[in-house]
Amino acid sequence: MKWLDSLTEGSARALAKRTSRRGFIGSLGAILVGVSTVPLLPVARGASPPGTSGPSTGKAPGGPADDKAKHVNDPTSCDYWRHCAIDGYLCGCCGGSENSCPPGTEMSAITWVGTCHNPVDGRDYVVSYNDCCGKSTCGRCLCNRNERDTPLYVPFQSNDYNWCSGSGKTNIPYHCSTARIVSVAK
Amino acid sequence: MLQCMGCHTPDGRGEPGHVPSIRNTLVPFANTPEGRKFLVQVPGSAQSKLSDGELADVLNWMIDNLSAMPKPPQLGRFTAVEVAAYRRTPLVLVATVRARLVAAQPIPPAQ
Amino acid sequence: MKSPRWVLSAAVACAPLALALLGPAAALAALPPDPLATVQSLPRPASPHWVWVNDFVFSHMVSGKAMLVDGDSGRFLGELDTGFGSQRVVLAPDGQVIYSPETYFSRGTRGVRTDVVTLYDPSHLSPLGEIVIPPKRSSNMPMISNAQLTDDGRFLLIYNFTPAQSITVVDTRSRKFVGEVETSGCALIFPTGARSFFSLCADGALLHTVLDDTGHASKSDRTQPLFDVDHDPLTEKGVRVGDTWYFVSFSGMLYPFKWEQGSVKLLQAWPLLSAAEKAQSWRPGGLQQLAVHTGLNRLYAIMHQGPLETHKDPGREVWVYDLVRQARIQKIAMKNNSGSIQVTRDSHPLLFSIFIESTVLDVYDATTGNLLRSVTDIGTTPTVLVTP
Repeated sequence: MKWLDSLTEGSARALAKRTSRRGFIGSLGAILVGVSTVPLLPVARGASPPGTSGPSTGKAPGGPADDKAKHVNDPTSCDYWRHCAIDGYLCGCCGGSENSCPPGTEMSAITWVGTCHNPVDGRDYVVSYNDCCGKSTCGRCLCNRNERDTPLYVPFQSNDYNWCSGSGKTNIPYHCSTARIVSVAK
Repeated sequence: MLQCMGCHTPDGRGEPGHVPSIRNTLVPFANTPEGRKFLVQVPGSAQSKLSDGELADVLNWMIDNLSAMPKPPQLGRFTAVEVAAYRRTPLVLVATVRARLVAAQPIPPAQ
Repeated sequence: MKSPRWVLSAAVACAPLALALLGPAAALAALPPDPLATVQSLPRPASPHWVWVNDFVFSHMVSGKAMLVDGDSGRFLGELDTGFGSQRVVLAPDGQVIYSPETYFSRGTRGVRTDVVTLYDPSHLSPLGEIVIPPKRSSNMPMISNAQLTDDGRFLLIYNFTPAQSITVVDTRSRKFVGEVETSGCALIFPTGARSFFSLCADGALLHTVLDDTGHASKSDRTQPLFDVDHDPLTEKGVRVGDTWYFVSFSGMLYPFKWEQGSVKLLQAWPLLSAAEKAQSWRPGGLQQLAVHTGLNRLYAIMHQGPLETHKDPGREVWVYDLVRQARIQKIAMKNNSGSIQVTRDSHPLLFSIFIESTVLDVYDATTGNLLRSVTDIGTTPTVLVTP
């Protein structure tokens, strides 16, 4: 769910994870099929102080810069490469995974999408943050890496909507967020 | 895709009860002047960051790739000029106009 | 009930002295039993120094609530339980009823969804009744503009997102749902005059809607784009003085929209920050980041220092502006992070401040900026503040 970006773990981390993104709001208009421009989302990650995050604290782990290499491929870490624009609880800590929902929840078809860089193969991927819906909020591994957010009147890039709004029969109870690969960003 | 698939889903089938499928209406709508106007004027099209030419390309691509039915050979391609003409008047009463378009001609069931 | 032992010991120890002073017949009278089922009620009208703190309880969204606090005494006066993902209560201008748009599922977080407007008695804080509305109420970070009354108090307007955008209209006189107004491409509700309002559109335009006596749209006008959505969008958190709505942009420009003769015009925007302050990365931020005092023509804005795109970050300062002179007149240092503020409308106004990650409500004198009191244990994830 891409809407609760004010629940951050502390102002130091919050400041660290913000970078200048203004230029991307315009460039996101480019489509990926049949048009040449590629909106690339840098994946600058903020680092939290050691010991302040981890599954036992309910916050997604993310260590100092030299630990980032460890975390960038860990799906239960906030620093995981796919999580470049995620905002919510990580389904990997809730009984699901980066691309699947926990038992008994429903994946919302309507969602927020972003573009993230995979450091392993060097490609940029379109990532879709489908929420898992139908149960109370998971409460584990809160990860807020919001960038390029727009206000509510620009819905397709707004992280302030509960994107479980379109989840078929389970409706708005938000549980956690996945980070599904949709395609390679051309 | 980035701007549209979030609600319309990558294959255009949407979410029943929330977002109508576009797969069964693209060709019927594109086949009438009112329908073509609608395809350009819906906020998702009109308010997108695409230029008129890019939006025309997207609409043509959608008809070619997302439609559940084949495109009739006489169906005109969208052009930047046509898009520009419609686009300056944004549409607010989307549900109302869409209901009228759907009632005006046979639309096969969504798939 | 038996007295605790220490009371008995004290009584025994003091007995000789007591007897000496009062005489042999005197003993402490036993407390009478308390009557059963005493329930408080609130006086009417509401004090202008009361504040409703809305809380969507992010960790347990089924338990939304609105809590009433007296800013003068710091006393917690009571609460309303307002259902799943609630945003705000709406106070009728005559003080006779409180409206609350609410969502319920038949089995808590699952089952059949029902949206209602619950009407509450402001003295007894209990339901008077409910009006069923389409189950489409937008679920989003709470905003004051999610639900508003028309200026004449007749129609309650609620923003829907399914993701189709529309506005539910409820007639408060007949207490019935009357219909929906489509507002595709535009969001939220900003009342202008007796029975009209505008919404903000994704291309930077305003959609202005006028309702007729039945609550249906009689007129709907869309302006040209009035602000640059791509480079400096407005936040949705507008505040109003008379016939003018003020919105702050991400970069700190203040946009005044004035309505007159049935249409909305943009007046000249002006900066809330000097060039030097911008260079030091000061910028406005928060959830309910602006407040106004209509009588004094003052604007209050939460400010913080941070990089671009921190437009929702809390701040430790509230800057106060004279809207007529378009100049800052004061800076108020906040004791705690401030994410939402509200100013009472009376002539000795209070400034309330809260933050979604804290449960302390701070109460300031809005004129001097002095912290008067802090009230603890207010909710779980408090969001927006509503005052009478």
